[in-house]
Parts: sequence; C-alpha cells; structure tokens
Amino acid sequence: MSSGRMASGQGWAMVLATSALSLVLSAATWGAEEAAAAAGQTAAESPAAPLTETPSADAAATESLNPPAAVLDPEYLEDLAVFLYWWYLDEEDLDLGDRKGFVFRVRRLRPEADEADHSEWAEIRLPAFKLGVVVKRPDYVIEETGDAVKGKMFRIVNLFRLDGTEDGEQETDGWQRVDLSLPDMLEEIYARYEHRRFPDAELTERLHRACRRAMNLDVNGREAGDQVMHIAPLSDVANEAWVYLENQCLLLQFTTDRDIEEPGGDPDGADMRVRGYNLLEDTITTPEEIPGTTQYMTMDQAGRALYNCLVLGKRLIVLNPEDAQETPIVKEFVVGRQ
Amino acid sequence: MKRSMTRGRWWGAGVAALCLWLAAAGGAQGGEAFATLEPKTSREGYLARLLINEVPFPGERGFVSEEDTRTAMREVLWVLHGRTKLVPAGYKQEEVGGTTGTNVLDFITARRQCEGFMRDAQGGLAMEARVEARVEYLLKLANSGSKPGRFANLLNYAQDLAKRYFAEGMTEADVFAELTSIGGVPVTGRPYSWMAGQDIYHPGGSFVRIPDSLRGLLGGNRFFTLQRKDGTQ
Repeated sequence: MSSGRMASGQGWAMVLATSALSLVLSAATWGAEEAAAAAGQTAAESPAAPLTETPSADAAATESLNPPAAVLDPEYLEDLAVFLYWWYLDEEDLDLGDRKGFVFRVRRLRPEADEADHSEWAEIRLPAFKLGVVVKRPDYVIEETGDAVKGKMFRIVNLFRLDGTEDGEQETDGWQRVDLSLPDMLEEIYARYEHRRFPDAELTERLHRACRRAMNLDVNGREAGDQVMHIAPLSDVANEAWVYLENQCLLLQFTTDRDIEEPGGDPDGADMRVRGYNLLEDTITTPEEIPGTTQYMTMDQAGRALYNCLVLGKRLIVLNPEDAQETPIVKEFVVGRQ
Repeated sequence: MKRSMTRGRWWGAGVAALCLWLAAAGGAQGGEAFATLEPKTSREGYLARLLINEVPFPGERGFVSEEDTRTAMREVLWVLHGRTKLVPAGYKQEEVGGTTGTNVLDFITARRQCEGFMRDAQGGLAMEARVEARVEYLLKLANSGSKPGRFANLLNYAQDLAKRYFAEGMTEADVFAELTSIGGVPVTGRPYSWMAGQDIYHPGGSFVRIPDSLRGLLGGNRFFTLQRKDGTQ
C-alpha cells in the first residue's frame, strides 16, 4: 500500500489499484460481531462476503492471532475498568447480577494499515459493564517530519455498548477470556481515588498552547483576576485530557494518537486536536432533540466530564495581577490532598 | 577553442542536472507546493475543509490508514449529498438533515448541525478559528519534507473530491449503498449521519447504527443509515 511517497501518476494508479483491493479485503477488516451479527443480517446487508482468516499450524501465524500480551495484563484491564467506571458507566450499564468474577473478553484486530505502520489493535469487551472498547498502540512514523508516533500502551480509540448477546459468545476466532475477581475489581476501582494522576508542568504547558492555538484562548491571558480551571485525572488507557474553564464555562477535550504525556510533538500543541463545548450553549438533554447533529453533548455526558474535572480533578487558579508586569500567581488544589 | 566549447557544454549540462536534482530534492520548500486548497470562502474550499475537519490524519486519534481516512471523507460527503438530494420515502428533509436546502452547503452550515461550521452575520460561509488553524497546520506538514506524503495525499484528495462534487455531482462509490437490513431492521441504505468521537452515543431519531462488520466505523466516525419507512422490506 502506498504511503504517498510515489511520484504522482504512477503513485495514484497504485493507490487506486490498492484501494480497490483493500475495499474487497476489508469487508471483515475489523472482524467484529461475527456470529452474532451474521445471525441478524441478510445476504443483502453485506456488500461482499467477508473474508476470514483460517488459523494455520504455523506458530508465528498462530501467535499473530492471539491478543497482544499487554492487553491481557490484569493491571491494564483494571486500569480500563477504572476509566470506564469514572467516565461512562451508569446504573443502566452495571450488570453485576450473580456474578462472582469480572470477565474481560479480548481479541486482536488487524485493520488494513499503511505501509510501514506497525500499530497494534485489540478489542476488549466487559460484559458486566455492557461496554466494549477498541484500543490501539500506535507505531508509525510521520514521514513529513520524521516524528515517531510510538505508544507505550494501548489506548482507547473507540467505545461502544454491548447488547448482551455477547455474554455467551464462544472463545473462537482469536477471543481470549480473562477472569478477575469481582470484589477485587470493585476494591481497586474505589481505591483509585487516592492514586489520581494529573498533567505535569510540561504537558500542562502543551495543553495551554494547544488551547491558545485552537481556541484562540489564552487561559493565562492578562485579563486581570482569577482564571479557574479544572483538570481531569489522566489515564493510561485514554489518550486524552479534559479541562474545564470555569470563567468561560468551556469544557475542552484534547486528543492525540501519540502518548499524550510524552514530551515532544509540535511545540505549539498543534498536533493535538481540541474540541470545545460551551456548556451553556452546547448541551442538550437527548440527541432526539436534534437528530444527526455532531455539535452537542448531552447533559449526562457533560455531567460526567464535570465530575471528573471538578470532583476528581485538580483545580488550578491563576491569579493575574492588575499590573501586567507582575507574575501571575498559580494555586493548585486536589480534593483529598493537602 | 573547440575543446573549451565542449568542456563548457558538459559543464553547463552538469550544472543544469545539478539544478534539476536540487529542485527535486528541495520540493515544496523551494518550488511548487505539494498540497493546496481553494480559498476557504469558496464552495470548493469550504467543502474540502469540512471533509478535512471530520477525519483523522496521521498522529491524530482515530487514524487507521490513508485509505480509511479517504473512505471516511467520501462517506461524509455521501451523508451531505443524501440529505440534500436523496431523502428517503417517508422522511422530510429536515428530519434527516436538521434543515431544508438545495445544496450541501445548506446542510454544512445548518444551525446546530456540523460543529465548527456556520454562516456569518452576512450569510457568508464561515468556520471556527480552530478549523482553519488545524488546516494550516496540516498544510504546513504536507508541504514540508522533500516529497509529498500522506498529508499531501489526503489534503489534495479532499480538495479534489470537493471540486469534482460541484463540477460533476456525486460520482464516488458508496460503501453503504446496498444495505437493506441491519439486525433485522429494514433500512434505507446509504449513510445519513455520522458521529465523531466515541461510539457510545446515538444521534437520535430514526438513525440506525451501521456496525463494524459492515464497515460502519470509518475515520473514527460511526456512520448511520435510516430505518425504512415506506413499508417495503
């Protein structure tokens, strides 16, 4: 697959040819929901019969079907459960029932990738939470700058709800099951409040710059008085940072494909995507109010983000003196810590 | 005399070859840009920026591959085209796209629809500053280095797609055109909505999520079709 390095004419021909091929091969690119989905679909639903790979006897090929070891690590899976618990889980989702154990179902995904892109992908399902995630550990180079985008961990790139039919799924087609103790899992979730982690000075400065660049907003601007911001805890499973600017009533989400805590990247934070939500104007009760929109978040979503920013987060107060020559005073406060 | 002229001719050829080689190696830095976009206030430039805004580039969360991003751009355009020209039986245009209109720009700038895009007080095409800030950054990357790479390919693709759309109409294949049923629910086929970011949310209304098995997740966006309402199966 061309990574865009070829000269124009020949390169475009190759890209088109490869694109056509990848369209055919990609019918099962994500390989998700095979048996359960197929049961609910007619032949007309699938533009082309999905291709499936037959595991070979070859050890290397077999190994490549197994989930990456890192996403089978109990500590990683606990991190994931904690993150989902803090950010997404609500009473409708939690289905503990008679469970004694906490089950994770994990499999490797292999989407069609660009040449020289060695990123790894996996899907993880948590039936007790009725949630699933797709995670990625990036490993490629941005040829234009020579920057390596190489993640240390698998981070969430997509999150979805399970409909319950997956619970009894057989461990076939590369799925593996990890069983942890439910009491231990809940204990870990509750204990994490004491171990929250926040952006360090370097990352905070990058967030400031990204904010300034993307939103034309300088949170350390010389508007006199207090500028109050609340920074949500970071997570090893999510490449994002959330900041709530109290004065502007603005909720900011910063995302990137590289490890967000890794120094480097664009010095102005331009390689981070920034999304802002004015909580006075950009919230609705339900998407039913404005079907099809990409602009809003629900009040429930906003509430959960604010919970992470205000209750679990770190509060920064920047006191800008009247005299612009004076250095701003910065105060920090984290609930539960002195 | 003759010998010095021959030496001079070879010398000149060598210098010319060196100049050509340097020009090729210098790329966008010294010569023509690898990627360009039409002005943001032109319809072609505006549509291109919408397509660019809705998809991930290398280094951004949700990036899978160049082809995945291209396909996502095409399907975003299909959504806009569908809302404009292919409203399914049983639906009103405003149910599908939040407004009525005769061209895709009406649906891009419709109030409360495409985040970051709107009309200014004079009715002109406008966008949030951060949209253009990102485009400028992507253009900077695309035009750096010694030869065009994925950034240039994707930006040029978005612009070409937009230009061709306004010149020729919708000529691209639609990944979701043949869908008739999802999970037992009769659907119209074709995409009519996309949601960026996490897949845990639903756009409401009669939109039906297109699952991964049918390539419903492209460029980090989940695409949705519509429930069929005309009574046919």
